[in-house]
Amino acid sequence: MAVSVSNPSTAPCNIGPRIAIRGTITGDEDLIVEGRVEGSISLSGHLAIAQVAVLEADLEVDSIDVHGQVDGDIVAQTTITLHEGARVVGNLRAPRVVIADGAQFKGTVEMDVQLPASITRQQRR
Amino acid sequence: MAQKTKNNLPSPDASAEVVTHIGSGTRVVGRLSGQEDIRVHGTVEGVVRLGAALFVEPEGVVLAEVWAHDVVVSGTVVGNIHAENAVVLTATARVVGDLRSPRISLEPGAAFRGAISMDPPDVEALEAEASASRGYGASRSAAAPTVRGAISERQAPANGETRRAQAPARTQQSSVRLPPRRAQAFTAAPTRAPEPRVWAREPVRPAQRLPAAPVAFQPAPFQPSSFQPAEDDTIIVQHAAIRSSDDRPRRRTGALPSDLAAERTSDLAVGAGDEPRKKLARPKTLARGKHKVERVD
Amino acid sequence: MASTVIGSSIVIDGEISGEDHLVVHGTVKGRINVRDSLVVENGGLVEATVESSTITVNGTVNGDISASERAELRPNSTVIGDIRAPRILIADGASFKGNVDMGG
Repeated sequence: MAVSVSNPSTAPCNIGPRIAIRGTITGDEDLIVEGRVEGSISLSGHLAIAQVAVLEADLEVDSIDVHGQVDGDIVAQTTITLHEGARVVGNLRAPRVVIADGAQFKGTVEMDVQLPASITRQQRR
Repeated sequence: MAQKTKNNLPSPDASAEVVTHIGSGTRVVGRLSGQEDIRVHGTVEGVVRLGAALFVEPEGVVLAEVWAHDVVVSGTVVGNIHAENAVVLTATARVVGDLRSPRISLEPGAAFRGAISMDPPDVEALEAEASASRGYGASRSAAAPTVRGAISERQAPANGETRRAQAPARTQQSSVRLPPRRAQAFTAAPTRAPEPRVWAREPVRPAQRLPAAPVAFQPAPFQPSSFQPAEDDTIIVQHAAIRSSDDRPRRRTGALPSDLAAERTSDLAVGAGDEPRKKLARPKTLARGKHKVERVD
Repeated sequence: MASTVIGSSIVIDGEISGEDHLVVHGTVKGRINVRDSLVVENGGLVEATVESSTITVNGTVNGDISASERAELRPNSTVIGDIRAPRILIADGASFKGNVDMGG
């Protein structure tokens, strides 16, 4: 079932490394995933994916830091950051996407690209 | 430098420290190829084939298909970029197009739209492209050095290798860790899926094995094909234990339960699943249903 | 005014245009049209029609040269093509084959 949190507590919610979840996770606070999640996550907060985490899920978050494995699309309201050691397959969509050297990624990236005016006249993609 | 000085231009003799750069008021349309670094402050349109590094400066604009050894973008690029070594988009980069390179990094502030694939550049495409044109000096860089460069790149850092090797090893068929006999039997089995996740730096050609890879790396099941896009059904791990007891078609992670079961005893700090996967009894599932949280006892 | 330098291992097959000074150590095939000046260095090869205000050749040019101010062929240069410029200087040692038009 969807796990919904309405009462942000001080300690961030943590899905431990030995927990596997299949389903939908929604929330309004920050979340740290160290285990396995299969399904989807919808969070209006920050999502941190630990190095050992394995996600097969579509993620819709405010911001996200990926250090682990994600197989699915990621949509963020602010920033998507793939750190070294991240292994991501899927599409990224956010105003800002940062891919660190050493991160593995395969998929498309959709950011808002402001091309200089001189070009947009010639070529539009 | 005064306007019309008669050839008082600096660096009169060739070579030495000639740095190729396209000035901001210059526009090159056509095919640009060579073996030295190029800094683009102006506009380049067409095709760029370089055996060295291409720097697109903040005011530079490249509307071209780019093949180079390294590409550092601080300006605007519209077109696909293929690099043998690395592609870096800095904070002022504006790129629309696909990136293909073993190493890719987007610094904060970079704007990018397109696909990213961390594979070495496509050799066939490179050759086709080279022969399509009358490659002058560039033709000699066509196939061989490209591939060689890509290979050496892959084999470079040892620690990087182990890291990469561990990651895919974990997600790879767990049989990797099993005694060879079983591993073979198992890997022959997989019905679904294609391969375990093959990461970008995995050799495109089967011959190339990562030298520093941990022993567990099984070459047999390994398909050299470049990464299968995550269209679906990448079964990461399938364990005989699961398949037998759970016939429900698993979309992806087959090994969920046994994975966790094995991890119970192993140290999770590094990539999980380092320890040999013993055939453990499946953990009890608390509740069957669409959404299942499995507890590992 | 910025300058553009084409290094010796660079081959450009196409058109170069602009306002910068252009120095060619490599190979250019096609067309060159730069407003200010063009220098073809020793070792440079230009197989193109060339237009600039000041053109200086130390290397090889196969193509027509049009300079609005002056064209200079230095020693060891080789030019095959027509030259059109109000002022032309062909140094001793330069090889040149083509027509010369200094008319205004």
